[in-house]
Parts: sequence; C-alpha cells; structure tokens
Amino acid sequence: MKTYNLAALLVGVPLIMAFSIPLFGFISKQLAKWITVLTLGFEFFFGLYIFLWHIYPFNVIMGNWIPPFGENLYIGPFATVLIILISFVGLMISIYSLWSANYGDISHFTLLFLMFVGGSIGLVSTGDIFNIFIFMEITSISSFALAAYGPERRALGGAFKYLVISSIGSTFYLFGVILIYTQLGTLNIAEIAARISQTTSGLLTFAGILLVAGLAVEAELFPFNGWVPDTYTGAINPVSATLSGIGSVGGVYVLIRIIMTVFGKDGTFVSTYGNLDLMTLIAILGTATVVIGELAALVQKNIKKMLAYSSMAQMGLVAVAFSIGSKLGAYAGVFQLVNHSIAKAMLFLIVGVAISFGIGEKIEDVKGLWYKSPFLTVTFTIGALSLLGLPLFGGFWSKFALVDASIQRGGWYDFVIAIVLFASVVEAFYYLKIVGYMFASKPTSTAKIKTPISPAVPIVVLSILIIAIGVFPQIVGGISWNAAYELTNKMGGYVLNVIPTIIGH
Amino acid sequence: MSPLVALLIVPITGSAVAAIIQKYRIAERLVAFLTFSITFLFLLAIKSGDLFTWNLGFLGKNVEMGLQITPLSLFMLYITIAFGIVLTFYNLSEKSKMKSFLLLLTMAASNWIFMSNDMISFFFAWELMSWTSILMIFGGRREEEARHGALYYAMMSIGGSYSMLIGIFLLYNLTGTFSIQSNISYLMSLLATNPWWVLGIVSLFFAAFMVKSGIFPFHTWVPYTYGEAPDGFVPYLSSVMSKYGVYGFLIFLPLTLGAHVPSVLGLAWPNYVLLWFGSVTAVVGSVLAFMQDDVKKLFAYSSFGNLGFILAAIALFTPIGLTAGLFHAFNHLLFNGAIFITVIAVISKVGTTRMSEMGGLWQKMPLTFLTFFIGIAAAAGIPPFAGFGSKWMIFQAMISHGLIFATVLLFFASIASFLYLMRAFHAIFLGQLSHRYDNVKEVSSIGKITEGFLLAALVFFGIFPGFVLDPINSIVSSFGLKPLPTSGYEYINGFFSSVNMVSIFVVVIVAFIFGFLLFAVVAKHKKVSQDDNYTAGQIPQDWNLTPEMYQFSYDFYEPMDKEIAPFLKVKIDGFFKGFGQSVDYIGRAIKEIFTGNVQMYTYLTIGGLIVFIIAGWVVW
Repeated sequence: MKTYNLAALLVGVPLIMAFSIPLFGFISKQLAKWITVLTLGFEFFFGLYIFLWHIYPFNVIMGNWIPPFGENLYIGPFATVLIILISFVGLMISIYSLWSANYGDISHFTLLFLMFVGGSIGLVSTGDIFNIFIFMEITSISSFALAAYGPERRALGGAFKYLVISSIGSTFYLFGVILIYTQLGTLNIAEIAARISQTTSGLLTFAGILLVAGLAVEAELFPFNGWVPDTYTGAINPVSATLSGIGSVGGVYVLIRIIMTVFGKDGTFVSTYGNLDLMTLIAILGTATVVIGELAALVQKNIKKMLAYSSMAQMGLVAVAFSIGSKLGAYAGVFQLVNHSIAKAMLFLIVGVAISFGIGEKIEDVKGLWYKSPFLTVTFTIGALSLLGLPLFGGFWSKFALVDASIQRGGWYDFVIAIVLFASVVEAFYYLKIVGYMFASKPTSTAKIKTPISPAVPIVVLSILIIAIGVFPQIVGGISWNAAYELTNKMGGYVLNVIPTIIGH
Repeated sequence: MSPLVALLIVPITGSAVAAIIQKYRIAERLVAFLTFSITFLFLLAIKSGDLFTWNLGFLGKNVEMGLQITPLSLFMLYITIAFGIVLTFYNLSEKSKMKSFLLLLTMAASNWIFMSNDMISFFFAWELMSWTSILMIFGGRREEEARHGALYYAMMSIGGSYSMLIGIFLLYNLTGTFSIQSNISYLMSLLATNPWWVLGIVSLFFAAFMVKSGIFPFHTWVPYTYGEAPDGFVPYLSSVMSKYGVYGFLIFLPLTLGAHVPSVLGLAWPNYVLLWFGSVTAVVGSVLAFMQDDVKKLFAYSSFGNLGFILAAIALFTPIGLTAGLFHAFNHLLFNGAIFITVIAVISKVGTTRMSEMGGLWQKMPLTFLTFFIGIAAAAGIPPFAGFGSKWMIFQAMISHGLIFATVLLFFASIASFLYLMRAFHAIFLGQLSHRYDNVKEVSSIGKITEGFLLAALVFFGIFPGFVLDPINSIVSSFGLKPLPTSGYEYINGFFSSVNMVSIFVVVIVAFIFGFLLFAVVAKHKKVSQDDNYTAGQIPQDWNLTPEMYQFSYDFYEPMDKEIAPFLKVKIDGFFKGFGQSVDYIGRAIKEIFTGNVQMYTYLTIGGLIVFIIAGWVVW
C-alpha cells in the first residue's frame, strides 16, 4: 500500500479557499475570481504531477488510521484522469468566468463554484462509500445554488427541479448505503468490495437497485434525468458547462465505482450477487437514455436545451460503454467521458459568448454566425464534430473503441450498438444542421462579434486539446487503459491497493 | 520523410495555410492549386510496392498502421490528384463559396483512402472525407436547398460509415488485426466453410461503398447534393469522390465467391446481384436525368448512372470486365469533369441552373461550347473520344458472359443518356439567345486554358487509350488475372476484336468536314431572335406564356415524361424521407416526456425505482 498524504490538499485546498473567499471579497471582488483561477490551476498541476510522475495509485491516510478503519482517499488511475479532467475543465470555466459572471455579488458565485469543483474532486478520490454521499451533497447543494444564480427567473425553476429530483436520488443512495452497512458493518469501499459475497443476496439486490437509482440522477440516466433540460437551460452558461463537464463526470464516476468495483466480479462481464445483473440494468438505462436524449434533442428549437439533451444522450453512451464490462468497454467509457466533458463544456461556453453578444437562444438565431465571428463558428464546429465522433477530433477514437468493445462482447450488444449508432446518426443530423446554419446562411444583422480574450483563451485551449486527442489518442488512451484495468480487476486494481492484507470472498 | 507521408502532410499543411488566409479568395485558391501541384510532384516519387508503417497507441496496445501502394492505388492517386490540379486551376477564377481548406482536407483524406493498408486509417480517412465534403456542401448557391442536400448526404453517408464500422470490428474480432491484406486473406480462407458469413461482413462494407458512389437504392441523395453543392466543388464531388466507392468494391471483389455459393451464368450470385445493382443504377440514373430541367441535377443523375456502368463491369471480375470498369472510371472522371466545369462556367455567367432559361449560348461562349460538346460526345460514347472505348468494352464484357438482359438494360441506359445529353446540349447552347444574355462573355483566360486542356485530354485519351490501358493492365495482373493483350497506344483490344482509334479518328474527321461542307454550301440560314416567335399572331401574355415557356427546350421530353410518370410513383427517395419524418415524429412524442413539470419528473424517478424493484424481485 503506497501512501502519499500530501494529496489531501487536492480536496482540502479548494474547500478552504472556497470558504475564505468572502474574506478575499472584502479586499476586492475581482480578487475572488482570480483566487478561483489560481486554486484550480494548482489542482490541475497537482493532478498533472501525479499523472506524469506516475505517483498513482496511492492512498491518503487520515490520522494514521489504516483503512478499513479510517477514512482514506484512494487515487488510482481512474481517479487521476478524472481529477485532471475536473480541475482542467474547472480551470477553463473559471478563466471564462473572469469575463462572464457579473451578476450580483460575484463572491457568491466563486464560492459555490470552488465548492462544487472541490466536492467533485473529493467525490472521485474518496475511498469511503459514505463520504461519497457527503461529497455528493456538497456538490449537489452548491450546484443547486449555482443553477439558480443569474438574472433570469427560469434559473430558479430549473434549480428547483434539480433540487427535488436530486434529493430523491440522494435518499435512494443513502438507503442503499445503509442496507450495505447493516450487512457488512463497514463503509470502506475496498472492504465492501472484497466481502460483498458475504451478504444476503436478496438484500444486496435491493441495495444495488437503490444505489443505481440514486446515482442515475446525477449520471443523467433515464428516467431519473427529468431535471436535466430545464436546469441546463435555465442556468447561466458557465454553470451549464460546469454541470455538463464536471457534475455529470462525478455522477458517472460514482455509478461506475459502485457497479464495477463494489458489485463487480473479476473476469466476468456481469456484476451480480443476486440474480439481477446490474450491468444489464445500466445497459438498458444507457441505451434508453441515448435514444431518448438524441430524439428529444432532434426536435428542440432552443440551442441550450438541445445541448442539454445531447449531454444526457452522451452520458447514456458512456453508461453503455461501461456496461459492456470488458476492459475495452471501460476504456471506451473513460475515453468517451473525457471527450464529452471537454467538448460539451466548450460548446456551452461558446453558446454563452454568442448569447452575451445578442444572438438569441433559438437555433435559427445562430444563422450566419460565420460572418459575425469565424472564431466561434470554427470552435463550435470542432466541438460538435468531436461529439459526433468524426476523425481529427477526440470523439472519433472513443466511439471507435466503443463499437469495438460492443462487437467484441457480441450477443445482444450487437443490437445495443446498432441502436446507439442509429441514435448517433440522429445526433449527426441536428449538430450538422446547426453547423450548416452557422456557415451557410446569411446573417440577419452584420454586427461583428469580437470575442474578448478571457473567454477566448479557454475556448482555444479546449479546441486545441480536442484536436490533439484526435491526432494523438495516446494522450488519454494510456491512462484510460490503466483506469480500465482498475475497473475490471477489482481485487488487483483496487482492493489490494487499499487494503493489501484482505482476502477476497 | 517518406513521400507516402508527404501525400498526407502536404495537403494538411496546405489546408492549414488556406484556412488562415481564407478571407482572400484568390490567395486561398492559389494555395489550393499549389498544394495539389506539390502533392503531384511527391506522387512522381512513389512507385508501386512502397510501404510505410507506424504504431499508434490505441485500444491499450500498439496498433500497426500502414500506408501501402498497390498498382490500383497508384492509378487512383494519379488520376484524382491530376484532376484536382485541373480543377483548382480553374477555380482560381471561380467565385462560388468553395473553401479551399476543406477541399485540401478532402484531398488528404482521399490520398489516405487510396493508400491505407489498415482498416483504422481507412475508416479515419473515410470519415474525414465525409465531414469535409458535408461542410463544403453547406456553402451552396441556394441556402435552404444546400442545407437540405448536405444533411441528406450526411445522413446517408454516416449511416453507411457506421455499417462499415460494424463490419470492420466483426472482422477485427475474428482476426485480431486491422490490416486489410490479412483480413482479406482470412476471409478467403473462411470462404470454403462459411461463405454466407463472409458475404454478410462484405455486405456491411458494400453498403458504405454503394452510398458513396450513389448506387441504387442509395442513389437518392446524389441529385440533391450535386445539385446544390458550391459550383467549384461539384466537379470534384462527381469526378473524384464517386470513385472511392469503386476503390472500395475493388478491395473486396477479389474474394472469389464462385466456387462456394450458387452461381448464375458462370457468375457467383453475389457478383450477379451486384451487376444488377449496377445495371439498374445505370437505367435509373439515365431515365431520371432526361426529366430534369436543372442542369446540375441532370448531370448528377448522369454521374451516378455512369457509376452503374462501372459497377456492372467490375462486378464481373473478369480481365475484360475489370479493364472496362477501370477504363470507364477514368473516362468518367475526365468527361464528367469537363462537362461539370463547362456547366459551372455557364452557370457562373448566366446566374441560373435552369436550362429553360438558357439557350443560344454558343455564340457567346464558343470554347466552352466546344469543350462541352466533346464532353457529351465522350459521355455518349461516340468515337473517337474518351468514353467510347470503355463503353464498348463494357458491352463486350457483358456479352462475353452471356448476360443478355443486363446488356439490354445497359444499352437502354446508354440510349437514354443520348436523350439527356442532347437535351442539355440543345437547351444550354443551341436555339435562340435570350436578350438577358446579350452581355455574357466567354470565360476568363484561366477558364479557357482549363477548357482547352480538358478538350485536348478528351481527344488525346480517345485516340490513344493505350496510355490509360497500360496501367490498368498492371492493375489487372496485380489482381491475379490475365490482362488483355496490348498492341500499341492507339489500339483498344476487346474480347472479340480490336479497334484502331487513329483510323476511327480520321474517318470521323473526314465525315465531319464533309458534313460541314454540306452545311455551309447547301443550307440557307436565317437568324431568328427569341422575340421573333411563332405564336401565330396571338399575344403570348394572354396565354400566360413567359419567355421561358417558348424556349424550345421547355418540357423537352414532355410526351416521354408522361409515359414514364406512372413508374416513378414508387419513390426510394420517399422511403428515406418518410423514415426521417417518422424519426422526427417519434422525437416530438418523446419530447413530451420532459414536460417541465417537477411532479412529473418525481413520478418518473419513483416509477423507475419501482420498476427496478419489481424487476429485481421477479428475477430474484
């Protein structure tokens, strides 16, 4: 068991900074924004350091209480890639917010934002099933407030819906945790994972169902995703980007961690200790989400709502990839998660810039954007094509891997992938329609848009990253493969790294 | 740097440069022209058998990727890049919304398709080519229609690609390698035991190729797309991009299915079916073409009709069939390029694509007229121009196999092609000149050079087909077939006989001079202006007649249209459109789930949990 306690800063720093932001706010409101950028920059480079110097996998042990007795953070490859992703997307959004977030007291926004990102990083790194609940609540509560932030009344409606559904989901999750705790008397993920077969199988099935249902709310899976369209549409654009690029990542992470590490069985595609295969459940939910999300996005007239539905559909795609259960499937899932997070956050930011320059939210309103701002048009196209899985852009490789994994699994996954690919054609239609509006149509007005430097930087960086991944898939591919190993070999990849002495049952 | 890599790097670099300076039309077009020319110089350094491999860290291992040059890919590279040079040279003076950086990316993808030795890069290049061309088509002349055309193309094309993607992975999971060569040889070994399984995988690939080449029943997107694409891009689309499908077919056709599945007339039935797809495409394309009034749409139908000829010929996979198909592919590239370039020259001058609004333009644009004339003569298969030899060989190939019905169909298509070519010829260039076009001028000198070059090429390759047949023969022998005998550059050796094109050329010239003399000496000419009409004293306005309506090519084939109309009620196009509409309808229904009412969402959430619990209970 490797330990590296300094990494506790990853969770500690953003939370501490978040709560001290009101103090900085006394000095200057602008300082609060820069504090956010600096904090997330620190997170990102710390994450990069862990990744590039191959420090992972390691544990952070609190107060010398060795797991399973104490609470620990476990930072394996999966957590590493997600920490980098979350802090990177967060950093980009915080740079963007230097320009965009100007409603009311800005220190409120930055406080909540830092809390959200810090909570998400805690969520992906904690090794304790109840701490997951705590971090989930931190992120949820800060994101309710974030979603309600801004000048528009509909933001309140969206935030309220999110609040209601998310609370129901948290309750489900908590019930599931309680059921497991009554059976095993431990909350440590590694110990639960090793001893999962000692439980009553009927009760475990019930616990699994509750956990999946609760987590599917955050992971945006149908039918638990009713909140998505209204919340995304109502929130200001940096918040929509945050929810889509960071919030959903955390949600999917927990879902996958529970399904694959806690309930998983080494060397099989299934994860079941009752008779209900939770992987099948996820596959059905994922496929339904993809189809419903894409078809609903097809008929949207509001561009933000369309992005919201597309976001939902992409999370379904990620869920389908993980539910395949093979190493290749997990690889595709991690890869797709990264690609989606980058691209969708970028699209929301671009739409945010366009809207703030007086372009409406209707899809027809982006007509002729090329004549007003080639920069926004080209970057939007890059993001959209990456989501469609077209070459030169990151999404190509993850969709490629997803199809590979599904065909390799075979059986009824042939049908799943056929449905998913059909939904992808639908997705191609509405994204290309928007791209066509942007490029080909005559603009209604000729006012040029000159993107300010602060939103331009994150958009440029994100689009360069998309192309970089598209040309060199190794950038994400290597660590995704390690993460896939961690997920599909729960004893070797996770449990023994946390508690080396434990014997799997 | 290997010249093989240069064929990818140079266009991509050129594309980046063109993208940066895309505001300056002349400069970006110049970059496109220079890039095509430099790529061609690198191409000269490439010979058959060249190989380049690298490793890609993907799917958790090092996947070997490769570029390889076969005689077929070399042939395809030469003709497509050479045509690209001609087109980009013409485009220097062309003013449509064609973006050179997209064209150059398409060229990179095109080179990659022809060179790729593994299925990852093949698919990568295939998709790259798809999206660049889709984005290009958005820039068409008419905004709404162009978007419709581009999206139609996108849906078909991406659908086809996904079918190919599934095929790729079915193969990969059987063989564990992405190499095209190994997968083909694996399929060969599988033939003896599981021919149907092989057939299934190959059909997944063929669907993508049929979409790209516009083969029946996936031809419906072609008129919308070719008809609306930016003028400067249409020649590339129809001459070069339709050949990717042909190349794809030729990757898989060496699978000799004959010994393992039932055969018809000595032809394995999958080949037989493919041949019929080709023949039907030829007929459908030609018949629909002569009903068009939009000149770009007319030649769009004509273009995929010719692809039908090519497919029918290569489906035979005999030496003469293969030679004929490839020869026709080359000729189609040439004459279709010439036709489309002259057509877009005319469109850019008169500002309309409707033929009934044109007429008499030969007086204003004589060189364009001449090039177009030779182009359609070649397309109709009139000796001694390029196009005659290949059609002649296709018929020989069909007859030598005893495929009488298919031959009759192709003959019918060929005659129908006379009809539409005649219509276009008459409507655009002959007849009376409308006063609107009094100020129309001949194309610029760049256009003249291009047209002169194409004219010369059409005649040259017509008279000396040997220059094309030689490389084709080496392709045929690389497929393990015995090439046709060669005897000098001016001969075409068919299955039954051989033709000396030079003597035919002399005969045609003599006949032409004789006819011209008769025309000059005997006939008395009177120039009739368009207003000097033949309405027998009636005032045209009283009858709701507009000048277009007494343009004599208006409703040119009206009686024939009426005869054919009942057969056109069955519309493949309608099927795809109806499918799209039902998807849209389902989308609207699904949207209703998300009512925006939080109570509804709560019911959904709780309901979902209850369903899960019931499911868990049932299986537990």
